[in-house]
Amino acid sequence: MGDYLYKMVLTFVSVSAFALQDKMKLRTVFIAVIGGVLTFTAEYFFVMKSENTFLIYFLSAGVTCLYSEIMARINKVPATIIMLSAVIPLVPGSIIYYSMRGLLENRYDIYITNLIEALLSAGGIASAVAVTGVLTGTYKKIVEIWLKKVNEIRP
Amino acid sequence: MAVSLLESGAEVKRAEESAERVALALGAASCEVLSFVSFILLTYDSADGESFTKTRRVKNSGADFSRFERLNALSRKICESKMGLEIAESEFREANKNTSVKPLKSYIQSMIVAFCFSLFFGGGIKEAISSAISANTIQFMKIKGDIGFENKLIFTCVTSFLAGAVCLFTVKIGMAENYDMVAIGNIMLLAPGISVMSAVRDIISGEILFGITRLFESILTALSIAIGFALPSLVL
Repeated sequence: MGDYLYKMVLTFVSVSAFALQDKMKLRTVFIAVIGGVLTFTAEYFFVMKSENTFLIYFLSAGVTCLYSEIMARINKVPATIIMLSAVIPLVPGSIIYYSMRGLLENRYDIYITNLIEALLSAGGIASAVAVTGVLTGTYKKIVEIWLKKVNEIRP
Repeated sequence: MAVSLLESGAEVKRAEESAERVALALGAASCEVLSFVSFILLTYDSADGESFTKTRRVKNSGADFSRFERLNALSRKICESKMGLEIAESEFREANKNTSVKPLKSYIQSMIVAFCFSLFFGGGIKEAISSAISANTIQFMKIKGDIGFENKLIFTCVTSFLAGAVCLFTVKIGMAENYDMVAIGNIMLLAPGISVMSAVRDIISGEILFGITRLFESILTALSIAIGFALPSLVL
C-alpha cells in the first residue's frame, strides 16, 4: 500500500507537470491528472492479477481511453488532450531504452527481451485506443441515427 | 483552422471534420477536405456555384493543447451560432495565438517531470536530483537549439546525447550512482507519446497513410532517443 501511495503521488505530480508543459488549460490539467492517477491505479491492479504484458497494458489503457471519452463529452474538450497526458504512466520509454542499450552493448538477450516487452506494451496501448475509437465511433453513429429518427417523428 | 489544429496536436480526422463543418456553417454549399501527411487540400463550392480550392502546407506539428482546445471550442461555436465570416475571422485570430510559457516556468516543469519519473522507475533521491539537473539540457535545446537543425531526428538524437552526457557527468562526479535511473527521467521528457497515440487514432479512423507516416516517425524518434542516451555511457 505504501509503494502504491508513493507512486501515485509521483504520478500526480509528474502528469501535472507534463500537462502544463504541453500548454494545457488548468481545468483540463486537473481532469488529465485524475486520468493519470486512474491509469496508474489500473496498471497497479492488473499487474497483481495478471502476468501477461499485453493484457495489462491493454486493460490499463482501456480504462484511460474510456475515462478520457467520458470526460471529453462532459467537459466539451477533445478526448485526445486528456488521453495523451493521462496515458503517460504507461509509456514504455524505459523499456525501449534498455532494449537499445542492450543492442549497443552486444547483449542481444537484453535487447530482444526488452524489445518484445516494448512491442507488447505499445501494442496493448494501441489496441485499447483502437477498440475505444471503434466503440466511440459506433456510439456516435447510433446517436446520430436516433436523433434523425426523433426529428422525423416530431411534427 | 485545419492547419492550426494539426500544428497544435490534433488528429487528422478532427482537423478535416472541423474545417468542413466550419466552411458549411460559414455559407459554403459543399466542402471537402483532404489531409496528406504535411499538406491540406480544401475544395468548397460557394452559394452561387463557384468552386474554390486551396492547398496549405503543414510545417510544424507539436503540442499546444491550450490552442487546440480554443480552436476546437471556436469550431463548435461557429457551427452552433452561425456567426458571420468577419466575426469568425477575428475570433479565429484570437484563438490561434500560440500559448506562451515563460522559459523559467518550462525549465521548472521539466525538472519536476524528470525528478518524478526517475523516482517512479526505481531511482533514488540522488538519481532524481541528477535527472532534474540534466533535464535542463533538454529544455535548453528545446528552447534554443532547434533553430539550427533541419532534421528533427538528428535534433532529437543530439539532444538525447547531450542530456545523456550530463547524466553521465553527474554519475562520474558522484552525485548519483545509477546512470540508467538518471537517464530514464529524461527519456520520458522526449518520449513521442503524443505522436504514437495520434497515429493510432488516425489509423483507426481510416487515415491509414497519415497514421503510418506518423507512427513510423515516432518509432524513429524513439530509436534516436534511445541511441542518444545509450551512447554517452559507451563512448565517454
